Amino acid sequence: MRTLLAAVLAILAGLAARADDVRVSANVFPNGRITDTTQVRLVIQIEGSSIPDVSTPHLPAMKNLRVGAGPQTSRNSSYSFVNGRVDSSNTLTLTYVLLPSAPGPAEIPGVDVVVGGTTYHTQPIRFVVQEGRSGPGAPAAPRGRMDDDALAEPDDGSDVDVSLEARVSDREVFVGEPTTLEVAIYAAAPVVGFNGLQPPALGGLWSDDLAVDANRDRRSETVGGRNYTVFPVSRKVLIPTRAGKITVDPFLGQIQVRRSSRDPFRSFFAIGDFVNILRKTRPIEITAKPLPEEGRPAEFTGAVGSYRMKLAAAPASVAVGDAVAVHVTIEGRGSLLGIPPPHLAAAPEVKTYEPKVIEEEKGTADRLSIRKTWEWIVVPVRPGEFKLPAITFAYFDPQEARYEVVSQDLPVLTVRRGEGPVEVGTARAEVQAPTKDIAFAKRRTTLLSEGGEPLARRPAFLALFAVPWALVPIGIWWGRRRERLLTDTGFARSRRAARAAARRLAKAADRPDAQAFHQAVAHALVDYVADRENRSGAGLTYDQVDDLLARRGVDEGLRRRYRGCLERCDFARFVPDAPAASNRTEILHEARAIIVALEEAW
Amino acid sequence: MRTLAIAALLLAAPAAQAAEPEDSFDRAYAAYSQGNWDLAAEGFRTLARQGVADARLEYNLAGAEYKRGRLGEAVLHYERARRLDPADDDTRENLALVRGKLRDVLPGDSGDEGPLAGIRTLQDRLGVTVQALVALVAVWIGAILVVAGGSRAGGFTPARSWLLAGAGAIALLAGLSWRATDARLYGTPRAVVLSASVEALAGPGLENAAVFTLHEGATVEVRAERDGWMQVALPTGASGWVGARAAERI
Repeated sequence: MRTLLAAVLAILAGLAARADDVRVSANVFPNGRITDTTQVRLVIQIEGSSIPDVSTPHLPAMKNLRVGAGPQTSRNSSYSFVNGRVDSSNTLTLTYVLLPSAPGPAEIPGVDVVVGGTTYHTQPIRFVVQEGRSGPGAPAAPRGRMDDDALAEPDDGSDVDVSLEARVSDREVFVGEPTTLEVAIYAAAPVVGFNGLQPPALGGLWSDDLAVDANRDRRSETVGGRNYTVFPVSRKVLIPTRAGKITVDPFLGQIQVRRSSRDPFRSFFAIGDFVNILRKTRPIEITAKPLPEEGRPAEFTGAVGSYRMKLAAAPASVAVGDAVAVHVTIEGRGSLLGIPPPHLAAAPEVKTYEPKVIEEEKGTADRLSIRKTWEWIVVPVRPGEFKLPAITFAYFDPQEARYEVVSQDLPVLTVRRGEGPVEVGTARAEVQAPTKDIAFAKRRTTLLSEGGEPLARRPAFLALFAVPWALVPIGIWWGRRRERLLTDTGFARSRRAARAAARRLAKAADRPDAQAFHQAVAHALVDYVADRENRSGAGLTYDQVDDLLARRGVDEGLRRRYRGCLERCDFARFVPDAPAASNRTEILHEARAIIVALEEAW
Repeated sequence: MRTLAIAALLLAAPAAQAAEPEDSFDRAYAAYSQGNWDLAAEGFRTLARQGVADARLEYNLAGAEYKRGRLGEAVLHYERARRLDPADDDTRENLALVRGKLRDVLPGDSGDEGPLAGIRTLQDRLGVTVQALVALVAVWIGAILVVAGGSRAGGFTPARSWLLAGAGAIALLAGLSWRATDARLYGTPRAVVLSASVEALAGPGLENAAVFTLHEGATVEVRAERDGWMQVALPTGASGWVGARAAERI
């Protein structure tokens, strides 16, 4: 217990010690070759048995170096017990990432570090920055083995065939003529990430970013016999603002690549090492030719390219005080960066407000195009019909090397008297263009629909499509039968035999004379068979009729009923006083029943 | 006398109820005309909830919602109005105008484009019912011609055969057009996003990763619904799951 207490007291005493044993040092890594694509690490170490408060040091202006990141701080403490005595050691490390600007001498002046109120001064560090890798090309020889103290000497990836390349579409242009710049990664090794691009100061140039998507726009190229996958990472429109030689300094980019492992085990299993490498582009020189003074129109405001102009003004008929929107669209090949809108001359009949850009579409690196629309608001201040002043736009065509002026008239404006006094706003924001609104609500003129399934989706409606095809066979049968009835008299007579017999029997019933009645019934029966057979009933004997019925398959019982009915009629005709003759109704009923039975049996 | 009065009231009651939707519509229309968008929207919405499915009602409700700044609701009800009356130009133009103000620009949102745009416009103007009726009449005429030709020997005269071929062609054309229009308007279940912004997830559950983000007014295809989640698909083919409350079926 006593020993433990002594140890704690000793530690506290050590922590409370004064900062008189503090040491401050500064070093750069890597120790060896440093190129302008190497990330230099400036490490400031503060060591001591205890470290009081440390202010973040302010790095002085460095020669040929700029701060890329930092400081990153880390602390380390250690205690040692020797012969009952406790020694403590603390280290505070501040790490900056520095980026060389160009090949040549570099210097980090002494850095002032304030520790516990005491200022410590580090020694200046000087080294030479060598030319680093830029542009695609064969990689350097592989570095040593994996255990080559990678921490002490960071990897600059010189053996990785990945580079950053900048290209412009035209190296010789007129002042104001746009040219496109593309910065792309040329990779013969797997690229897994891109940590950003540091563009240089583009002196003497206006620049405007164009859309780019490294994955979507990637392509393959062969450079020096080697195949590269090209990932565009930046596209810009560059417009020279002065004549002469203009240099586009290198762009610097940090690329994460996967390099084949030098470890045989990892290499065998295709496990790569991920390394962050710095790459820069080669400088590019652009020659900007001056625009000719000869023939320069007064309306020229600096647009260089090839353009068309479109005009629109709406509405064409307004009341005094109403706003008319005038839209002017300039489109073509070129850039309108920094170019003022076309000139709209003032007119006494209208008040014209400052234009504003309402649409702007830019092209891509492959298609340098522009479409820009300005909107003017003009408000008529007096009634009548008048023409708005023409709109003029002048540009220099580099292909033809001459100035062009396009001018178009606006349509005639019809202005009627307004309802109230004319009050024209004084600021652009106070006047709104006649914007399109939704069409107004619909008034109800008929009853509202209760909804439900649309007619064309209802099953009953769909069934109507099937009905005609179900009726077609019936229709054809009916049509053919009707046709036969019209053309085939025998068939028609046969089909109508029963109806004719019924009519004849009905007429027979009307006959008061018994003989005539029975004769008519007998004729009706015989004529039925004659109609059925399409032959004359005259001269047909009862035996012949019986034969015909038998041939038609009429059974014997029915034939006997038929024959019996005929014989009863004959008997009544020739023996009028016989008892059978008195029952006319029975005979008539029997004759009708026989006809019905024969119809079924035929 | 008292019994007679009660009977008269009972007889009059259904007539009074039948007139009520029209009265409500007219009141909501009056509110719209006076610029009282909230009252108008509420009036039209109440009618829609009562089951009145009328293109004018959906159109006016959409307009009121648009005026209230609720673009998702506006798109939803313009789409419903279009289903009920595809021939209406105002609906089509208003829908295009509202879609122009949406944050998500999806393929097909800009309206009919391409070589078949004219045909689709014609189909919309004719409407599904007219096309179906034309097809039905042509089918009946064809059937009558078949009966007339088949009823007698030599019944298929050249003139009658040409008429039959014409009727068949019209029936086929009108039928195909009708089915295509029907499929376009009613075939694919679609929904409109009503939330300001909603993430479509890889599966029906909050634990799934976000696939894409949709914003108010986006019209998407509905592929499935499960446990309060709706699987939606974009015209590009990408699909994801959103909470069923974030979107409403058209």
